[in-house]
Amino acid sequence: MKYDTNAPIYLQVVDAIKLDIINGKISPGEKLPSGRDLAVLYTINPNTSARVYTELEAQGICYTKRGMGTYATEDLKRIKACRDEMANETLNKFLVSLKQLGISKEEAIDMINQANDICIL
Amino acid sequence: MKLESINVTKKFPGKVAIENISMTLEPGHIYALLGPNGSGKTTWMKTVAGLIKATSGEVKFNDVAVNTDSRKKIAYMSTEPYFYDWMTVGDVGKYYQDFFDDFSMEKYDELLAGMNLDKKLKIKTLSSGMMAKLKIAVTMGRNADVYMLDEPLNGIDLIARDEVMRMVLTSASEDNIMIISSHLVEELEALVDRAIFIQDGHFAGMYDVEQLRVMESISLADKYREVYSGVREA
Amino acid sequence: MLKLFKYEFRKSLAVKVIILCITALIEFFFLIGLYGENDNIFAASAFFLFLMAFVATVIIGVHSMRLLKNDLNTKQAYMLFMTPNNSYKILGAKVIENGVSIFLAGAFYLILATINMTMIVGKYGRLSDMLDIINAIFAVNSWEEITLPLVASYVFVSVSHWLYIIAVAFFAIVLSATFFNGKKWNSFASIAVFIGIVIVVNILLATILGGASFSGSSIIINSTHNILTAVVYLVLSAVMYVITAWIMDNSLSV
Repeated sequence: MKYDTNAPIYLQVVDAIKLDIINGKISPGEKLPSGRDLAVLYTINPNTSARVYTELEAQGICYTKRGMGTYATEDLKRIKACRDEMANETLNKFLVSLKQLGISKEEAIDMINQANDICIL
Repeated sequence: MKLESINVTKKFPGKVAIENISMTLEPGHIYALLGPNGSGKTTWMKTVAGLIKATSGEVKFNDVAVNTDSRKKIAYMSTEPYFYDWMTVGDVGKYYQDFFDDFSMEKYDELLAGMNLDKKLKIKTLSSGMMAKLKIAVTMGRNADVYMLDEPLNGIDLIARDEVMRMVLTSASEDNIMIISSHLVEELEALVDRAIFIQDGHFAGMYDVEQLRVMESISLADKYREVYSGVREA
Repeated sequence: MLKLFKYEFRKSLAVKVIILCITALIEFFFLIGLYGENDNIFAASAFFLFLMAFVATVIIGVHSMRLLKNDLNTKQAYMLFMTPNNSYKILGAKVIENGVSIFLAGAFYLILATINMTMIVGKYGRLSDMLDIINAIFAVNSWEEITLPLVASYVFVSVSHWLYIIAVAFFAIVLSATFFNGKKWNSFASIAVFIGIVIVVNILLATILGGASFSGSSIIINSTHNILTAVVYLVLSAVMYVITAWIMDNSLSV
């Protein structure tokens, strides 16, 4: 994974994992890699990967079972709320860009309707 | 377990390589040792490894001045090749097994496989890339308390680099200290959590890398530029 | 230290194999000359065998100096100095390996000479003539018989003296790598130190022990004298070894 190295890496990994949970790549309740395995998987420092899980846990996205590991939350409401949060963030960024380009909301809606569907593999 | 550099100074005829380098390193971290060519990084590492005797000051490992015994727990990988040229890749492993109690032949075999190095290959015939991989494999085959890798990514192709980083990440633990010196600052960005800057033989600061991103929104590479040229990227 | 010894042996193997092969070749010609009754070949190969005894010990000794120099001045130094072995062990392994090799070489050529002599006597039965020739070579007045013990003690003192010379050379090499490193007068200084020590010790020994020094053809005095002189040289070698190892441990940077 390519990181923006001017911004905290742990937050970028947090977002990547949230995305995987939201779009089902990681199932609710699925066991997540250990801190060390996460570090190897994402090629990040083990302390950074620890911080990732601390943050995810603080946000209620995952939880730790003592002696057993870290698991993705089974709380579907929480997952949906997470999805909405991230969608809103993206929307806000989009709206800011539009403003910078001087495109009105109506124009934007037309552009969206005419745009081809995006396929994510 | 701790590693302390206390006012370490090394003078060579006509040159002061390092002067008054003081810092403490703790286990559970991967340190980047950064600085331009000739700034003293290798000299400092070799002093910690006991290969160089400091002119003044001392290096303490677990509160004891570094000596012959410390070499049992400290692993140093130099930038240059150093194996006897009559050896094969397998012989190098046997040599380490003969002298280091913490060397694991199984781990060595695994690492060799990951790097595509055959044990029967002769040192004489190795390309510089293969030599670079061998040095890392045999060093990481040890289970040391302190690993010092001097320019481990030099001369290594892109795919092998990923393997090297994987090796470092799987070996790093709460119980050991990893010190990696490199010019390739960008490659180390996500790997290290602390960075030590050396400038003209002097200690120029130690930083928590992720904190730099959180507090100053600056990458390690840009911090490097700031420290060494005084220029801050827009 | 056994492991260090193993690697020192391996490092010096190639040269020894070559010496052995050359000796075998000359011995082969010697046998042809002896049993084929070719006096020229016989005499020439006997001469060369005799020469090889000296050449072999010299080469082994000089080669060990070169190995030490490499092991201190090139990056291969890391191989030795990153291991948890102190300098007494590192240097000790080198000194012992070299010492054993040279003693074995001396013994080997002594045995070879004895076998060859036996073959000559077996073929010609003229041992007394042979001894006359040897006496003439060594310019000894035959007031003591050339016996095996005498020759053996001669070999012993020669080898001990050579080991002492090597020990001084090791000291000079370590001194050079430790204190003269990077200086322009490095080679000059180390050679000067080497020659200086050999000369000074030689004078001291001659003064203190009166004639105990090692020199050319006046060696074959008597067995006891040879053995005592040899012991003196071995002790001196040990002293040089300790001093050299101390410098390595405390002051040498590689």
